[in-house]
Amino acid sequence: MRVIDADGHVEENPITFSDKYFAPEFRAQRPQVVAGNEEGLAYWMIDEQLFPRRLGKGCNNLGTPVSYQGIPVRHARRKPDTLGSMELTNLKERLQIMDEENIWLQVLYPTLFLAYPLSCNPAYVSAMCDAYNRWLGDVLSEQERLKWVGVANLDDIPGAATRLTSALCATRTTAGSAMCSRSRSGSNGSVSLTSMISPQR
Amino acid sequence: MILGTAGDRLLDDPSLLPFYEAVADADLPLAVHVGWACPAINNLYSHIYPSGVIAFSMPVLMGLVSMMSGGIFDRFPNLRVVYLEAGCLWVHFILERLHHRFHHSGKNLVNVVSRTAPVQKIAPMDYVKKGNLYFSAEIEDVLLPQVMDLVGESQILFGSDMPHGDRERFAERTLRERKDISERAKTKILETNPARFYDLAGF
Repeated sequence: MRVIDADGHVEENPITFSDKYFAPEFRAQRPQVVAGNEEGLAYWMIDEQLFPRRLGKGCNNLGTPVSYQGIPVRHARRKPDTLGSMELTNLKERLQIMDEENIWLQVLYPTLFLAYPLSCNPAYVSAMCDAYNRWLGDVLSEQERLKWVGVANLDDIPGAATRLTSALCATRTTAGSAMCSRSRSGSNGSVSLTSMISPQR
Repeated sequence: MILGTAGDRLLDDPSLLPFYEAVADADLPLAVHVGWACPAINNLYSHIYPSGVIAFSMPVLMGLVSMMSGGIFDRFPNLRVVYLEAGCLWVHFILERLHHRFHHSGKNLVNVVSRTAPVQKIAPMDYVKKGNLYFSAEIEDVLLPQVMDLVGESQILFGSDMPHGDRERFAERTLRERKDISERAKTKILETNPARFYDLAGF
């Protein structure tokens, strides 16, 4: 039996929203990882709001970011996973821990996008979704054991539907989709949504 | 992936119909994942412990209820949906409540105020029996065998939650060691069902 993990995750990191993937018009306000007041704590700063926010009204407990300037943050040091595995900067390390746990194939979900709202600007959130989808489409394009799920911005329904439709019309060569990774009749048995995963120019 | 609400809108909000239409037309699977989805619920909590129980998990339950009761499964009968990371112990509870309220509204309340008639066309379990609704299970869910009896062993998926901090390591092994689940069901949960849901034939 080859085990399929239907719900793994990736920890977003500054590469996710780097120029390669993030729309030029929003780069000046791109999500940033900032240090907390206490040693070992770090947060995403998005529109001058911090994520995660574990204290106070409306709190959440996102696992991302797991590093600040390449150093594991406090909660990440408690995990068996390496930064390379969590942030997908080293796919071999992710595959290694999958092998340890007898998982052949993993379908990856986001972490940052498990909180709402990340911003009150729908166009900006769509740009973040696009960057995330491009990033995973890029870093996972050369292997078969890590599939990924796209994120959709439900505050921009025309944009989400258009992206999905146009992406499905694109060349099908590698893994990834607007709503979910899937296998199909492409050259390597999977579907690609090129318009979503092509790096930004 | 979407969360169990669209912010403070339910998943049967008419504004979302073009999105479901695009997903259904493309024959893509749709995942409804736990998350802090609904500000109105999130803001009830100022401590992360109960927030993690309710604000994080409950939107998935709300997602199933709103999609079913709002007629999304009637409008898009081929839509394939999985409800992820809330365990599976809630499935009995919600389907029983749906069943109870569906019949109460359809047989009793509708005779008092006609506009209270349910929007959905068929009984809740009839949607489940169509086989397009999937649920992830936590490997330690004590009622997993009973949930499989209810929704069918072909509708349950395994998810590791790797690398999140509250996951159980070696979950696949733990599931295999359970004595109350058949070997056939384990194979379905670990391989067959996720392959079918994600359309990963020949992966």
